[in-house]
Amino acid sequence: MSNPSIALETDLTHIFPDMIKSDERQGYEGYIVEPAQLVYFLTRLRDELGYDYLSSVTGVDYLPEGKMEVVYHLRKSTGGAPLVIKTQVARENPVVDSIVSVYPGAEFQEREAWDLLGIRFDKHPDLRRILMWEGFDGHPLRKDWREGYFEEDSKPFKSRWPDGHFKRSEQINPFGKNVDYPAGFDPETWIPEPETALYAGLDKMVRGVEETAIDTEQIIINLGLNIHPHTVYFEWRLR
Amino acid sequence: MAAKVDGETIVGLKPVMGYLHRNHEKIGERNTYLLNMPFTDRLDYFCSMSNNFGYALAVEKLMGIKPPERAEYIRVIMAELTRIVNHVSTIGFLLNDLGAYFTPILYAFEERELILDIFEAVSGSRMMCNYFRFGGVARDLPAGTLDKIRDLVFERLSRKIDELELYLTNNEILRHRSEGVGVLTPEQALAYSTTGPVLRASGVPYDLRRADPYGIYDRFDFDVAVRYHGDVYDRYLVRIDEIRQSIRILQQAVKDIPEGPIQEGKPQYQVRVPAGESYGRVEGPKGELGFYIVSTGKPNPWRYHVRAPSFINLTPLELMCIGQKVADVVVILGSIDIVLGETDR
Amino acid sequence: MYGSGILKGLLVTLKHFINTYRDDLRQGKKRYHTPEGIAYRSSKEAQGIFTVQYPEEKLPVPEEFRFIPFLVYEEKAEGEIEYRCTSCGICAKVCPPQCIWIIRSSDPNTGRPIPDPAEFFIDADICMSCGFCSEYCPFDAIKMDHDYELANYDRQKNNIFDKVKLGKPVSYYAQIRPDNYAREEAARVEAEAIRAARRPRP
Repeated sequence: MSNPSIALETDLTHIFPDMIKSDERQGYEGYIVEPAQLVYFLTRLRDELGYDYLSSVTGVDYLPEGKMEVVYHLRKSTGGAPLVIKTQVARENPVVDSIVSVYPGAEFQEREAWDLLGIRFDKHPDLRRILMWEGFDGHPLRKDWREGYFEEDSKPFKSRWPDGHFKRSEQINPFGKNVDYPAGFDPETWIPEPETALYAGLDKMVRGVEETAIDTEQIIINLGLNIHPHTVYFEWRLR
Repeated sequence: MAAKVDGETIVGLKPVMGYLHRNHEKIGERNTYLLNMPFTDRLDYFCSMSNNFGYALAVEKLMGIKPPERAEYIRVIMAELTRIVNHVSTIGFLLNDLGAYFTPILYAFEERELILDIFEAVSGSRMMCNYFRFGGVARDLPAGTLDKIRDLVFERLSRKIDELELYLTNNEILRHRSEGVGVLTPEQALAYSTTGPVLRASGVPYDLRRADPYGIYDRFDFDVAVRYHGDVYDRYLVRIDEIRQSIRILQQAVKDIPEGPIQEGKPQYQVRVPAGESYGRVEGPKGELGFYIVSTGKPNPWRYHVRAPSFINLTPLELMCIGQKVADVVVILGSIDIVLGETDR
Repeated sequence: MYGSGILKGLLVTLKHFINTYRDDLRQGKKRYHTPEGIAYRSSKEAQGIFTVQYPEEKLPVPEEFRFIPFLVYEEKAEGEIEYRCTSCGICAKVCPPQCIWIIRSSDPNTGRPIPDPAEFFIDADICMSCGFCSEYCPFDAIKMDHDYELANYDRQKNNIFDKVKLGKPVSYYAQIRPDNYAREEAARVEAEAIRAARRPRP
């Protein structure tokens, strides 16, 4: 329901004939771009065609076709419907160029795609897990990954009706038969690794700090936040 | 956040998140389309009506249906009431972070309580409303609710916002602590994909209700609230401006609302959604809330992704905090207005 | 003058403070622990103190309020209870956290299913009070309750609601949701009239 006068009038395949093609799948829209040309194409879109605002970066796992797709929604800051750009890579070892050099706002979203789907982004400044904890094994949003309390692929579950013999969730025990641990892993004796990657990243940072008269030292502190972000308390953790 | 400080000045900052990660997107893939609606309530738990709106728009675009007139007006009324609820709480919490411990929250929450009472009368629940359906809304407004909304919108809210401004906007402590703190230039704001009040306080007049209208927003007469300094004080002022514009929209909507059906077709629990992809987005109180859904024609979605404004608005946090003191970081975080339910999904 | 903003703010706070006691003096004993007092404090003219002092004063819940569901039964002659539920299973299918467990009962002689639930469990720990079960039940057999004071000390024993604990009479339903009940009864009477008109005349 967007204003038709500021919708897309140009067909981008005329401007970039060898890099992109229209997405012809039924019900889909936008353009599919070659992974090698991605950064160049987006730079030209931003500088020449005025798409200076990246709305969202997300990944999709197409298991039956063996592809991983990264979907970008771009907008113009003057308004209009989003332009949808996609790249497709193979599902084993997916690697895509990072667009943080073009749109810095993609930083956290690409980290999320790496964390949850396993798509590696080349030249990303700090590719670490963001939502899951460091040391987590696996990429949860992949279609072949099953969560701890997995029962069926889609609701409604057959165990509820017509034969609904009640079972508590705790009885569907996650330490039972329906979860996989990596080989040789023993939950009783595992010690989690500290957040070395996080602090190493901070250590490397040398921002412009002026010399002041006061002799101060540089330390790393953890500003903690409980569940609701507006009652902040400080937790001093010195390295 | 892990912050590297030199004395009291911030030299580097990295946000650490994921403590409320509930794998909402994977649960979304297991649910059918209708069953996902109450889960979207729990994303940004302050603004559940807006979340429902975005999801309903995404699926309606795939199904190709449009809600009837009365349902569209009810949707706009609920969305704007949610915006007032959210901004009023945010201002309260910003002042809490500044040190005015709980007094502004207490006064602001009176308005929030009255609006939540309306939500309870209409949908059955104060916060987890679960009110929107594909093709309209679930139930019609009960008798007397429209009068209560009229009372609030025409009489009480403007007066109370004036009172809020009276004791907050010119307060010297607020001004000293928030002017010039956490500045974000318009180029940076656009490059870092910020949306919502954070973007508009930096001078970029981008509001999805004007730029890419959805629902019936093109019929209402309202201004886009913009400020040009990009600091914490401007984000506070933009939110007050937006509350006033919301009251303006509400006054027009409550006057023009027609009678009629509230849902397109019979209510069904097994909706038929054709194959395709769609990106349904609303201008939520915190920014652009988008739902990207890929469907293969089966009863449950193939991919369900939430473009969460709080998550993406955190990207320039480091940029805004470098060179500020530790105490300012708290204020800057409060002015971005994040909700962890949305950040971590 | 520097500091005038702070002074104005303090005057506003003082006004709120005085308003509390001014209304106390004006309304006297009727202000607390009475339904009119609670209604005043949740209306648009409320000034001063805003709090409803739970548990001595309880805000009346609106009709649409939803908490854990309950099964509606009709009371027939001689104290016999007939549940409206036919164990069609729509509520179990449409429940987002899948907290409803139903066992259909079958005829002991023929083994075919009969429209009556043998067992009906709702796990109240998982129920998210969304209201879908009552919205999509075709027989008006399961409705959302208003009782929210369900806290107890032993969740393993108390929080799985079975058919007996879930059953409440139609009179209770009519009392907590009068408008909904009136609308459903009117629709039922109308459907019955249409069906009677279509039946062939003897």
